[in-house]
Amino acid sequence: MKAERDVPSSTRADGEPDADVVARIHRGEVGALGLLYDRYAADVRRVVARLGVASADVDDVVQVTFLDVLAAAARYDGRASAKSWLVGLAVMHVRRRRRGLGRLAARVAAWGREPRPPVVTPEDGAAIDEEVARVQRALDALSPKKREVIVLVAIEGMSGEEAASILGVPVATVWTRLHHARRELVDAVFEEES
Amino acid sequence: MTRDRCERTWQVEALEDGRLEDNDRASLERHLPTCAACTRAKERLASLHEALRRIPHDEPAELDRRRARAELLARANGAVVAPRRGRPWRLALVAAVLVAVAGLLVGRRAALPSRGGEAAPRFEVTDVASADYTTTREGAMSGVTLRSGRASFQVDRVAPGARFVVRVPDGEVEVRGTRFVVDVAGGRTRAVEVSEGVVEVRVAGFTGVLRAGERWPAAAAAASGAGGPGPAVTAEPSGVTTNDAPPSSALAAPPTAPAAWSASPASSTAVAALPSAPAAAPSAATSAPAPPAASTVAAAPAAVTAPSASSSAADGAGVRFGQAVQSYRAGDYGEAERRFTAFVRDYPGDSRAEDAMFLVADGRARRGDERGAKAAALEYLRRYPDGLRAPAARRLAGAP
Ligand SMILES: [Zn+2]
Repeated sequence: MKAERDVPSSTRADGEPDADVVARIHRGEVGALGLLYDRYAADVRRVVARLGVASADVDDVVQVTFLDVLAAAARYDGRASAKSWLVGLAVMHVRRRRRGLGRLAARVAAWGREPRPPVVTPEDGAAIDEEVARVQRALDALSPKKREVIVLVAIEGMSGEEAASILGVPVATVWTRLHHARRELVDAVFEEES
Repeated sequence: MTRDRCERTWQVEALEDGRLEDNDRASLERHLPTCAACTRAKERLASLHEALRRIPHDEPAELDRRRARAELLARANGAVVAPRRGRPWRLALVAAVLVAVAGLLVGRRAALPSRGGEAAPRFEVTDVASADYTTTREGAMSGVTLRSGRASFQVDRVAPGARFVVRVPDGEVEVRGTRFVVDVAGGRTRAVEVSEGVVEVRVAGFTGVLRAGERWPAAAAAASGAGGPGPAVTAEPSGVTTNDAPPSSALAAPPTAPAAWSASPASSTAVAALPSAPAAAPSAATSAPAPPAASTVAAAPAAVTAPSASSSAADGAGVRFGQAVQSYRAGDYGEAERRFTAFVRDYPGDSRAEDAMFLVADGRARRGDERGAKAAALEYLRRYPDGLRAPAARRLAGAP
């Protein structure tokens, strides 16, 4: 809990601990929300996109996630870095949106598949090789639960404990899901070439 | 060396995830070079993770990021303010103006003593000669809404839980017991300078802390913040206001006047709809090289109160911008355009260059030169796509 407070929470020069920033948000200081946004919006946005939210909706999910902070700040547990906490809020919104979209699935299917985000800057474009394209397709084909653990642990590098807390499941469940998800991905990406 | 199967292959994944005890890890690391299956599993896992991390994700452009940030804070402000006040912010602001008028002081010194029991910080506003501002207090919070001009603030120590906030058109400055100067022109904050204590600045997309002796911006004024407020409230060039004569119209307005600040000829003109409002006054509140306002309290030495937002602009810039504004106000749009254009050429980094470019377009429109206005508006938009005048410039450019 509060014991982590002396861990550096941010490399920013202002150095105010995340927990203090969240406390100020709790007191109604909207400017502190801007500070939190500056620190973590890019992380939240990246996770939301990797969880498979359509590119047109990513910014909206990021917005509602940070707006959630106004109410959720009261429940902040004092952890040194707010990143995993924010990612947890974002995951809830991604799930909610997915459920809502499920009801629209038939209509969406009629419109055709959402185009992928404009892939990357030209100089990176050459690096987008066939293997990455296969991994992207395989990731898109995973079930939402498997995708969550892949994104949080395998891509974002979170610990099993962090992921478990974000996803609301026991750590063992994280490892099990991760194992099955990796097997699916490996099968899809590598078996077809060998 | 089995080809495809090994009963330890599952440990490879646990190793990757850091779940193996020291003994098991050492043992597996000894095993790996001897086992093709485990080695292959390890390599595949590594290249899977590497490929996963290379999946591209688009980063928003900086401008989009700033827009999104401004939108978030605007929505958050609504979320925070609305429930507490029970009505929209705009209405609340009207109420705040009334409070301020009632509290407006005699003479030039604006001292608001705390009412008994309330923890709202005590503060004093000085140097208000060119400032268009209102004061507010609510519960443990007090503050000033500064629409344009320059004012010095001295704030007593702020008790825990209490707040003192200066709202500016493009953000806010929050205080923890200090002395500081805020300078606003054309709907934008030009400078915040701290002579004592600490303030937090949240303006135009910037968030940071200033300590004694520090100022924002440090160098030439940054481009205007994203999602800035709409029509700017601007002031006359401050040369119009003599510093020793109390800006009586502002301060001696009858307390019943609901909008003392807009009724005051010397203090400000609300620009409702650029470019149609003919009285549109460009932001020149701090640009004319008026001598630093004589402060009744020596809260801020002249060197500190001198506008610093435009470090590229020596006094010459202020004079020249002021002259261009005078031509513009006199209706001599041709001369105004020459002067604004020269100003932009000579002081491209000055924060007023943005206004100057816009006023060229606006002046052409007033002369009936629609095509010229459109071209100038497009030029403005090219340079300041996110500028304070962008909505008006888009109208001039004929864009939707
Ligand atoms: Zn083996």
